[in-house]
Amino acid sequence: MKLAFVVQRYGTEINGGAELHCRWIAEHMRKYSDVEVLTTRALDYITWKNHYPRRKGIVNGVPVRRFSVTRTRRPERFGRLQRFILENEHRVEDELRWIEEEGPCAPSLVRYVRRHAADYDHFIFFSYRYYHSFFGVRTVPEKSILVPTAERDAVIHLKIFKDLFNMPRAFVYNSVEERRMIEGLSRNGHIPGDVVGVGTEVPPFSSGERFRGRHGIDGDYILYIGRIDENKGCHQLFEHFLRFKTETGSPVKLVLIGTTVLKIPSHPDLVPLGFLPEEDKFDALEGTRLLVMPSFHESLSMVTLEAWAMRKPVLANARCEVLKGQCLRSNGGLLYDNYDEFRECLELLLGSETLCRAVGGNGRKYYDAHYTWENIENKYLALIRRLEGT
Amino acid sequence: MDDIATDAQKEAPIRIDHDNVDVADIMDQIKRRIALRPQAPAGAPAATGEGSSGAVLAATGGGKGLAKRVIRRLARPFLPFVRHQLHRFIVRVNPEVYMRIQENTKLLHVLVHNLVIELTKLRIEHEALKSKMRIMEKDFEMLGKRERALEKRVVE
Repeated sequence: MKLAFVVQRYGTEINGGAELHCRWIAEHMRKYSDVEVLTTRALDYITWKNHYPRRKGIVNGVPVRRFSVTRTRRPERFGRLQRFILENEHRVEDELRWIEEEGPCAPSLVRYVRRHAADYDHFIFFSYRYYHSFFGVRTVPEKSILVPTAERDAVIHLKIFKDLFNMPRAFVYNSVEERRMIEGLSRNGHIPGDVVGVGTEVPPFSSGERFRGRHGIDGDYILYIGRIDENKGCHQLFEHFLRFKTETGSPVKLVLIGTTVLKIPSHPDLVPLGFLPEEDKFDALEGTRLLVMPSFHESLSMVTLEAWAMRKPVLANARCEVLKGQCLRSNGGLLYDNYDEFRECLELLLGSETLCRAVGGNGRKYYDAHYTWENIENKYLALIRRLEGT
Repeated sequence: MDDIATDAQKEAPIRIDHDNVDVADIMDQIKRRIALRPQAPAGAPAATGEGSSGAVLAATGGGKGLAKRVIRRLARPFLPFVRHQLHRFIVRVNPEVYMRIQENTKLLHVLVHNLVIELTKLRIEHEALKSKMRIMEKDFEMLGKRERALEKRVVE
């Protein structure tokens, strides 16, 4: 069996989102079949500028074939077009123009998929909203498995995606909520699919003390991991946290790990550390009281799973359907919808070590039941077997 | 094992079974507790000593706003009377200041009046310019047609 993983970017430098998800799955599926990754030469997800060389390479043992991006994305023009599409009556042609602007525009990748369709048993496309999936799934619908990694954002309602969601042979969803949303939007319940998600690589040893020593952090802290961006709900998190500090006089700190896009308010208890290596990240998780996830839109939230793997409770934004569903199903995290709830939940978790242990333990049980690599691999294999049997 | 989670708060405690944590139940309790919060100070008996409503309001997040609203509502019937008395007091205590306030008010009226007039003039001018522009556009169009017609003639 030969599988092609088709994704917008690929490389060890890319540390999050659908790209990391794809890399991990490809590396794990290598045990069961021939695997090849088809991707672009882009590294930067804003402009999709060609960065990697064109030649075929190997990344962590997985062969990678890269295709050139013929047109870089101009963020301002793209922003204008997206605004127009979302705010005005428009034609399907405008939506097609939008998908080409969204990129990464790599026609040679789609051409390769068409010409070499017979060489692969299945094409697993990651991220529904990019050029490679939109045109790739259309090119080989009978062999394609789509991993949509969809969030409840405005573009999912575009007409072109309703058709797309009815084309692939099968779906791999990240969460029950994502499946429900896509099936509700496109009435594609007849297409086989499973809720799978992704596992995580937890290092055998991690130390909160090592993290505190390395970054000079003392006392209790809560942790945010991810891009520090308004879209991720960080602005609201800062407001809630600083108000919580003023009202309660709590000495707790908020440690932020991730690249910064948003201006962080200057406060001694807001500790931005920038992007950190995996070892540091897990050390930080080991030392924290809880992980806070303020994002409004998530398709899975890999850091939430990592926190649960480390037996840490999560305080999540209840407005994100996926996080809410995960927390309620696992009993591994509390939820806030407004400041009052944020304060209550944080006080509750900071005030009771026993509760933190119990909630974190529930998270771990949920992680063990659904997100170990053995589980993930078996679900992929079962789905493929099902397709081959029909 | 049932446990009272937040001792510091005097509101209904959140009961948690640590052996079998139910997040939905905890969130329901938190929501109920928050929903009850605004009614607590109004329904509370006139506070005395350390546990006064003022202290409670200062300690809770939305309390200040609520206290302000309650005070404002209670004071509303007396406001005209208070304003009248204040007016009389100013006239009596410092007639000069009172005169100055009156003058300032008159000046403000004149200023607003003048601003309205100027804005009206500008609007009329804007409309006139728009009409002129439309006329010039038509002229331009007509001249373009004439140019093309003349070019045709020259070619012929």
